[in-house]
Amino acid sequence: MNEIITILNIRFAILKNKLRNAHQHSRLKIFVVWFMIIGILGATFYVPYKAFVFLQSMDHVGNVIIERLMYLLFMGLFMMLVFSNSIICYSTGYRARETTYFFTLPIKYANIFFVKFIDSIILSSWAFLCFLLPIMAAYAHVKNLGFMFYLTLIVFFVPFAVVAAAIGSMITMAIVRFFPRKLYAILGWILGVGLVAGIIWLIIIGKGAKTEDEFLFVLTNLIPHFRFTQFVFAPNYWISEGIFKAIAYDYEGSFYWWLLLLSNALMLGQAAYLWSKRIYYDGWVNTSFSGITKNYYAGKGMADKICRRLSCVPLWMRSLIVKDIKVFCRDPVQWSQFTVFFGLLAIYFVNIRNFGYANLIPFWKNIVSFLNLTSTNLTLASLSVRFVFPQLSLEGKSFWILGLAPIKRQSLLFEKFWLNSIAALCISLPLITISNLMLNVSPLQIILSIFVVILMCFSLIALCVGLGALFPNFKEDNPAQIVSGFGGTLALVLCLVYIALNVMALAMPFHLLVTEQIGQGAFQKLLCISCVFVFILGAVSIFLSLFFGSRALKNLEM
Amino acid sequence: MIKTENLRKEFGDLVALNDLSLDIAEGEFFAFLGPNAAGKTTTIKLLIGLLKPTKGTAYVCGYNIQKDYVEAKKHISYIPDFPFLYEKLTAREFLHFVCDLYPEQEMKNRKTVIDDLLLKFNLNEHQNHLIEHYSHGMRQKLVFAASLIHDPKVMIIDEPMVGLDPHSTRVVKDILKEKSKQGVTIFLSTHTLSVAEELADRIGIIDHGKLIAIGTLDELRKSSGEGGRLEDVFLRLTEEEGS
Repeated sequence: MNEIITILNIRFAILKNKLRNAHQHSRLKIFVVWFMIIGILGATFYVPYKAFVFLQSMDHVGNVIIERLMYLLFMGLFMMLVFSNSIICYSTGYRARETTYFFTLPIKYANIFFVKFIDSIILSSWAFLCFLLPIMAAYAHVKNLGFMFYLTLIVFFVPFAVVAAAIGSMITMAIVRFFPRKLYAILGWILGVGLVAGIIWLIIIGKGAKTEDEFLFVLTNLIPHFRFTQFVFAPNYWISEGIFKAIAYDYEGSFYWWLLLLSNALMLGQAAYLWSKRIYYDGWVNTSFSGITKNYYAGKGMADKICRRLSCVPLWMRSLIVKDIKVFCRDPVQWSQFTVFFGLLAIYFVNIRNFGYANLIPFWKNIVSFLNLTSTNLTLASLSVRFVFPQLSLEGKSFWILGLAPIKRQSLLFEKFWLNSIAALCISLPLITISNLMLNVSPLQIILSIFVVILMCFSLIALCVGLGALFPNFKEDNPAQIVSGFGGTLALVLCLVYIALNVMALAMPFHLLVTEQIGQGAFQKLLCISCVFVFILGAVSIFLSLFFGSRALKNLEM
Repeated sequence: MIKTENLRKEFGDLVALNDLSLDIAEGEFFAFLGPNAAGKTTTIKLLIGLLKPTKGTAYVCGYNIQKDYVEAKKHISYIPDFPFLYEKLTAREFLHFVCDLYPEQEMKNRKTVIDDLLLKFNLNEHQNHLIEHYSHGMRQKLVFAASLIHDPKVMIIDEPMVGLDPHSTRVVKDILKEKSKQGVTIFLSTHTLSVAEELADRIGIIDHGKLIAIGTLDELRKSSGEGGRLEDVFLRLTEEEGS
């Protein structure tokens, strides 16, 4: 136990040092970070708040829907916590260099696991708590609930998070022990099968939504199908019941659910600890030193074959492109995230007709169409920040060869820009076309959204590449760490602001038209102005990003 | 102090270590040499329990490293070629942390021990700076300081001189000599043959996972038929094995 306390103490010392160094960051940096935090928290509060107010206005039906949505929220939260704990347990408990260091010290293996288990709970829970609190604040605001509600929420959340962490870490221990290095693939399959099953289920229950008059009916009709969120043996049901009882001043009932949650948290935590004694070390050894390597034959891959045909592109650039494609394809962490995010969007877009959105009135159809455009661009932005922004920083270690090669440094930036833009275009363009075709929107709207997507692909990638060059981090090997720095945060903020400006500018004329606030003539004029604005904004973003990025790269001292 | 019995490690079809049997006495300075991918690091990882052997057993200080790993590790210090350090700690904080991990060797004069080590490795000026600002050489010195803090009986070292300046190299060599004289067993894996030549009591040469030669420098000279420096002996022996 002493060693656990010692390691936890060192965690606090590290945190203290980080906080002590916080004042060394520039004021602009601190301002941007706080601006972003407040903006995201504000949006996470405002959107559910508006939804709750709308539902509350429907009297009894609305209240029932709100209650069911809360059950659904906790179920979703529980599943995400289990999934995220599973991933974090793997990265901190098996892949981190610190873990290898711990294995060289006289520490019991189960205690190493226990420390990593605590890390996993903290790392996975804080983000979900930050996501949950504004939604709960919106709920509390609508329902006029006071301080006790928040206290109850926190008290319930702790054992709830422990239960999820214990289940997630036990899943990881089992997979890693028996299928080393296959964790991502297996979790991907579980997620994929779950998603497909979910979509099929949605299609089956969504068959009733065929006309606009039925929209509200279906919304209320869907609710009985969510009864699975009230499965009595599920921890998400226990937390939901406990909180609802507390709201209804039934403290005895609430205490019962809390005790049930707590006893299960303790039992599952103990089970994970005891199990780690048997399989944690074996799993770690298997996953760390498998020694089995796959053969890759130079020049024989798909990327090699395609690039060989691009004789108009200089040889050095073709080489860089092939290298980037291979590095991406050989890292399952990278391509699996792409597949999951864009795969989800693709499944959703293909099923738009089954959900009955195509039969909505123009007002709703317009909203759904622009929401689809926004979601495609948001996915593109988040993946660009995650994968494109750190690319130049990751080249830092290879600058001993790239920096000495007879090519301009700026060329590296342009290579990243073109390659990533074209890749983004290949994914986003078909997606948004499918969405529009499924929604049966007007040809004008189809052309417009294609124009926006093309512009966005180039400008979002330019922003990420340019900022990646302006704020490089050559010390870090881990792309996630590079992204979590100031440059990555700024890139995300700018991408979000850029998307918001574009979508608002384009959606406004359509919104005014379908709500009959303007006529056809005014609509055309306004749309022209919006298009010009979007075009200028995109062109300026691309130019400035690449200009400042290439200048920074040219003057870079390593 | 270090004993291996028919130690074998396979990775799929690849035999990384082939029936290695070693017996290294207390206070002995043992240099472990071999070409790249010969099995040196695999051996070290098996000795400190980072790998599980496919066959055979390794004992350190009389403890089976797989079964009694906590007891064994209390007496081992391990210095990897690219060590892990907490970037956001200072050198002093890190040394205190390492002290805490060896409670049975709890020192009453902990502060003096840490001060001495910081001074010895010329880290006292930077002791309150975050490790993230240290050069590679400073990090390596800090790792050496940390490895000595619990007074180990066995030191297992992988490429110790990488990135060290001449002054620090001398300090490290002197410390290793001194520790060996005090009865600490040293297992040193290195490509720097001059260090092995200067310090080692016995030398083991491994190639393709197999121990191809073991003995004092003179014994190796005899067995190889090379009378010159260790470099010539090493090249002759590994050449023979290769052919």
